Amino acid sequence: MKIHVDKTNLTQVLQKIQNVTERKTGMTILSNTLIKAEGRQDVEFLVTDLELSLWTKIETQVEVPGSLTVSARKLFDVVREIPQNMIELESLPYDKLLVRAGRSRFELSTIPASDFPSIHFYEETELVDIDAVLLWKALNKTAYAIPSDDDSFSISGVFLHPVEGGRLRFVSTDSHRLASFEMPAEVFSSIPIGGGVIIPRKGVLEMLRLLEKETMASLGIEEKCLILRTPSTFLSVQLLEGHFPEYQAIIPSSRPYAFETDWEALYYGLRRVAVLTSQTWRHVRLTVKKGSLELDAGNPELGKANDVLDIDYEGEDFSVSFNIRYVMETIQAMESSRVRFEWADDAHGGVFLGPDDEGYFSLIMPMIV
Amino acid sequence: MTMSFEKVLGQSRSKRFLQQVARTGHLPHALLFSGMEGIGKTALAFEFAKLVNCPEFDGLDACDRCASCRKADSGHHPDLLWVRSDGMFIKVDQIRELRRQTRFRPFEGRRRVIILADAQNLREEAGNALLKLLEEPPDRHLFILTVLEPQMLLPTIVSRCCHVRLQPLEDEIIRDHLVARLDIPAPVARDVTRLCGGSLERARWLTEDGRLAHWKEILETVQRLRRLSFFDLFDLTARWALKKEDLEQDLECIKLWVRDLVLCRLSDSEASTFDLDDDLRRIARNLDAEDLFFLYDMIEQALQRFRLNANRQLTVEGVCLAIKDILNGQGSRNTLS
Repeated sequence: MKIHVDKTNLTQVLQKIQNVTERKTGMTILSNTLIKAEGRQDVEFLVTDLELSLWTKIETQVEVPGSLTVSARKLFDVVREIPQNMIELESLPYDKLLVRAGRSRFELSTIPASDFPSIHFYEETELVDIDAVLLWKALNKTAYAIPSDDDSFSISGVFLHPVEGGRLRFVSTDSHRLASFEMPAEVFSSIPIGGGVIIPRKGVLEMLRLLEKETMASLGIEEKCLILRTPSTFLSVQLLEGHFPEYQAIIPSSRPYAFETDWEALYYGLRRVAVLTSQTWRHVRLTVKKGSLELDAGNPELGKANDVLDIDYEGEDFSVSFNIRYVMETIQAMESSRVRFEWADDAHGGVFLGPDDEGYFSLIMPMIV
Repeated sequence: MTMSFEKVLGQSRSKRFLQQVARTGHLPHALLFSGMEGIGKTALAFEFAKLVNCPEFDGLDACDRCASCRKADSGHHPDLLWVRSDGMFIKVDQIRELRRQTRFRPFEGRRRVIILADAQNLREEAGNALLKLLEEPPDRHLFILTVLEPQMLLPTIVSRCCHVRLQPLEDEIIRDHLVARLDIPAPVARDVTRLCGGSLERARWLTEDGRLAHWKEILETVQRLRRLSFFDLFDLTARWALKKEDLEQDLECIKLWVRDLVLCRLSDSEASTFDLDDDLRRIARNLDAEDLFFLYDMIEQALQRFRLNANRQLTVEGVCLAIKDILNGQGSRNTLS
């Protein structure tokens, strides 16, 4: 294999694939990227950590076709350091890849392409064009509540499932809080979701990264695998098997206490009092009275913070405490000029809604302080 | 060309069983290979893992040519996971990582095979974490555990595995392997085979660094013990205890020699490990078998004490004194102790 590539293009593509390589386990092949230069102009890059697989390509000049695998991280590090604009990649005998630019030469060890896991991108699967912006929004509004590890009470992924009224819901929960986003089911009309699928956390984060700059993408599900295609990239995500918790049971059906307030006022109010919270003292107490919301946070070591905001509320007084980080993340995910808070009692979670952000729903369990 | 399964020496009964299981397709979710070290437990586990995922499996063996077999051989098969001791133990984090890796279905093979070598090194909490995995095994996964003795594992783990007992290798197999593959001269191979107790690893170990000659030396020393004065005996043990070499293995050698004495006392027909001289045979025949068993137990205990960092000199002295006493027929066991 011998190719000439533009440094900027190569850096971009190598940057893109870094997150999908595996560095933790001892399997070296998973930290490598498969470089395939089989056509005259296209060079394909494939990576997998067995959970996610990614395919992407760049257009460049192929002098001698061929394929090999090389450490994605090291190639990236090398390419980043090269000052020249054109880089030459050439395979050498004895399983080496020569990276040459100007007078710099790097010989990287390679593993034969035949040893690379056979990645199945289900090319024959029919992909459905979807609104990339809407999918990005749905994932972004639920990603923050995904726990980073599985435990016996929660599952580390976003649960995508159909609900009554012809709608589709994205849900994530770490058993302290829950985030969900609903959209009309027509958006994903012919994708076989069945009773629901769970997209793992790593997959959600990678999809967010891919969709960020796109407006159109296509999606498909095949054999417990989700395939996302953008013009230059194929991503396949192994879906999680397992049962998502019966989350509906913890959402209080009647929430007699409710108020609305300005998004900015609440967010910046929380930011102000958050200054005096710490890893152990992380609560914020919301004391709700007629027309006012008092925020209390702080700890005996550092001091206390108190702030009062105006709200539209005429009901009985009540107060409730939450983890301040949870409340702030919930509000940050909202796209609304107002925030609506609904509450039943101490045994149930508080609900945060964005009146202008249709479909978004968040529930946070109260803290006992 | 040697086929995949044939690369593992001996173990024909276990191989037949595994082939049968693979043919019917009714694979258990966990297999436990038990047996002494150096008889091919891990090698058999690896070859079986290849066979399970080989698309060309012909009912007997893996093909060794397909992409799956080649990837396994080069250590790049995505569905073949190894769990080995990290230092002395297999730690709970390794099992947690394993749990993360087994959340998804196999990547390209029929099954994901997890080989957990030396499962006796599982720490308690790691064992419990593994138990959880074995209790609710993920679909299309096969766990293969290797262990010296099943008693070294939590009984709950053993009860969740299909147990395959591997046998010590036959003498001819080891001897032929030593001669054909390791270029060991036939007479040495014969001696080593008798000493290794059916373990190829031990046989290889004995052929290295002049260990065979060293064992013969030990034997001569031990046989000399009964004629030594106490002064010489203590002098000998003091020097012995100072030696850098593995005293534990020296004791293993003495243990085999005592076993020979027991065999000589009980029957003439059993082949002995060492060539005992006629004088010693005569003495052994006249000894009380109980005394010999006592001696054997004592060496076994000494070995265990060594592993617990007992004083080397005192332990060696104890063993040598006991040998001297019993061979001289004094039987000076202190019954009050």
